[in-house]
Amino acid sequence: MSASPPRSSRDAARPLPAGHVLLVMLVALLGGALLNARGILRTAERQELGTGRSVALALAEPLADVSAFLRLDLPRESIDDALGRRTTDRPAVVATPPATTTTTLVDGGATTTTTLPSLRAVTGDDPLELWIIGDSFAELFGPALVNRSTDTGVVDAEVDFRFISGLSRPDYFDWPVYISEQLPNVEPEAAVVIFGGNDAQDVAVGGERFDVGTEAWVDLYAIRVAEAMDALLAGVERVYWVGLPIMESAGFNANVLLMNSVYESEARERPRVTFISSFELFQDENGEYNAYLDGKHMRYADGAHFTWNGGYRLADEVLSVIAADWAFEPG
Amino acid sequence: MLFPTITFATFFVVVFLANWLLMPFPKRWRWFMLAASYFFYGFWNWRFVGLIVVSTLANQFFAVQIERADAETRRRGLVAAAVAVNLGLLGYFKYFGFFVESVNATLETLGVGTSLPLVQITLPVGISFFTFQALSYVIDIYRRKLSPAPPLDFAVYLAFFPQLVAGPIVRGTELLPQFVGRRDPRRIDASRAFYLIAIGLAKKVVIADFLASNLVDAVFASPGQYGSVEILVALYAYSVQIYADFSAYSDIAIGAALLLGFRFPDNFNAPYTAVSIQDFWRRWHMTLSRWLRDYLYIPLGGSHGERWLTRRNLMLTMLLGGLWHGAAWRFVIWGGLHGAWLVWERYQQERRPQPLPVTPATIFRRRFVTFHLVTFAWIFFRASSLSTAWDIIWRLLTEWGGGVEAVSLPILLAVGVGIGAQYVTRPAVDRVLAGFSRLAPAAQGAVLALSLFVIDSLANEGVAAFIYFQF
Repeated sequence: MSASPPRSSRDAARPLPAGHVLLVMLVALLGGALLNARGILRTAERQELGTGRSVALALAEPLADVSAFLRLDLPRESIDDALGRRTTDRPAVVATPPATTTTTLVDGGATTTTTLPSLRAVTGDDPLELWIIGDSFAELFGPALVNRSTDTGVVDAEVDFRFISGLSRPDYFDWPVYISEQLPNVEPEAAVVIFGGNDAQDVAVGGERFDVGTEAWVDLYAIRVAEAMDALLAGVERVYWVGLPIMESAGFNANVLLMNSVYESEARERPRVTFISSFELFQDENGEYNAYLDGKHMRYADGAHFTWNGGYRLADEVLSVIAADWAFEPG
Repeated sequence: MLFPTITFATFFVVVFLANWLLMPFPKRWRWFMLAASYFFYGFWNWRFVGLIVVSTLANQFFAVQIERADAETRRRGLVAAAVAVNLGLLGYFKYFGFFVESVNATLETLGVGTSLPLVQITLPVGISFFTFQALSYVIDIYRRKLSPAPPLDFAVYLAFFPQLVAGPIVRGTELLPQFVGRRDPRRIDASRAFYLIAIGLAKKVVIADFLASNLVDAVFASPGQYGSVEILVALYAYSVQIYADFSAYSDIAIGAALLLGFRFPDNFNAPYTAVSIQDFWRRWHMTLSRWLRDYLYIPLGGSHGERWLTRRNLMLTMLLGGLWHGAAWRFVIWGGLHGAWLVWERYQQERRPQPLPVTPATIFRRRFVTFHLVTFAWIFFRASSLSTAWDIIWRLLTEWGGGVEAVSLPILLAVGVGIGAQYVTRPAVDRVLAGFSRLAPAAQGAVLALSLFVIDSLANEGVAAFIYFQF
């Protein structure tokens, strides 16, 4: 708004008393809440299990009911539909895991060797189409890998990441379904995947609660990981699944190790999926977490996410694995 | 606690009610507002509250000592110590890593085999803002423009939640007297407050976040993937994004304060209508520009010395202003570019004391040139590194055969609205506000509810932090 000469008194807004203002605020917030009840309920449902979510749902659900009863949710529904914001009807899990399962890991000493079909030669005229997907850990790692890939001259890479997403909560963002939808559009030949930043959370499925870290949770998470891998394998030659790096928080680290073991074991069951560990890559000489490695700032103050330096450190590692498979110089 | 959230809306309704109910009881009001402000700040990280308490105690100590001291040398020593403590605090949290990395890089270049240890330090949100407010307080007391406030008043001033984390930078001379005066609960400038809050929310969640997530972030992350046209549009989009984002915070802060009965200085005045870089700095982050002028440029000598001294002072002020924004060389370059252009404009003014005749064509040309200079400088402000900035500039100049797939009609529309809205005149807005103020409360509430509906419907899902929180 640009400045201008002083206003005339006729154009001046009348000051209002505090009671009037409070009333206006309450009407505005209540009216806004009723009109946006669908969005508010969606936000509440997507929160992590816990007291905060229970309180949010206790407020949002009756609000949504009143809004629906008064038909005030119709305008928002129309806008959401027009903008392609669908609410997933998919249950929070596709297949419920058996009550007790045993995870069979491939014995390192007796690994079955599977011969994979050889990969095509990649050239500047016919580059490798690489799709990089994931959660916020892909925010800088993804573009770093894109930039490094571009430098090779034989890889055409594209990033698609979603903040606060993951595999634990398909009710929030359904990655396997999204992958299946996007594959025909992107047409990648290989995919690089990094998830897990938001996955270490309790999950409720059909009234049953799966507490993070329990055997039942691990089994459920393995199903989710398998779904994502299989969705990708339906459209790409190779999947490079990147494990999470060491974290500053000991509690988070325990879950990271658990999730990494799931990625690794699910990858072993699928010959075209390669698990790339990043845990050790971000340990210091004492095997500990350190935000600085080799004199460079690698991790943000949250003790988890990569800085650009960290993104490039991981990108170089991942690109060297891809380059070995597809027979090109990583640069 | 982010402004565009239900959490803040709930918090604010409670604070609004208590603010006016407690007004007849000044002491209780102060304790309540201090607690509410610390709660607001502690919502990010409760440990940061300790930092603001330490800053409050230290600055109040210096303020009282400066006031009590008679000898000029002692007063000067005390104010120097206060400045050192404040800048030391800011330097430790904000610039330690930058300093050590720069020293280590230099040592490595020189072939010296030692390096300083690197330590991860969390940057407390808003530290640059409340440190500058604290500095203005002690310096104004040293200059005898202000007397030390009662400790509780000063504590509330430094922590006052509307402007705490991202400005405007409100001086003690502006806000402290308002704590003493009695505010009239029957005369709240609510129409303007609601307008500022609504327009701020729209700018932040509809314009700024949309442009960031749909073009700007991707282009600045991997410029090698984009052609010149896409990069050019992304640069325009970033100019709009940073304005919409930062001015949104100021708008909401000023609006929230107005509802509580306090007036903050304006922080933005249609900066992309500026006809020169000097004019731009009179319209962009105005409270920072005033701060740098009064506490840095003028103490350096301002424009009262020889011409080369004035130019040096301008350059130093802008370089340090750049460094205030972030601990990286690219911010220094950003400030240096603005400093160089200000020096050039001054040189032109000195060469041509008689201003050229002003025509619509010259105004258009000046606005066009100024906007593009400012947009060019933003490259260094936004890029993650100097090499990325150079890469963007190189591709902007050389990739005209590249694609335009990343540019969509909604992006062009958002950029157009972001720039075009700055030409809406204040009388036009005032007429709308005057009409709004004459509506019944229920009608006013309904209008605002509809605004919230439109804003939330068009917003990206999830709320991104304001850009200036990192400074």
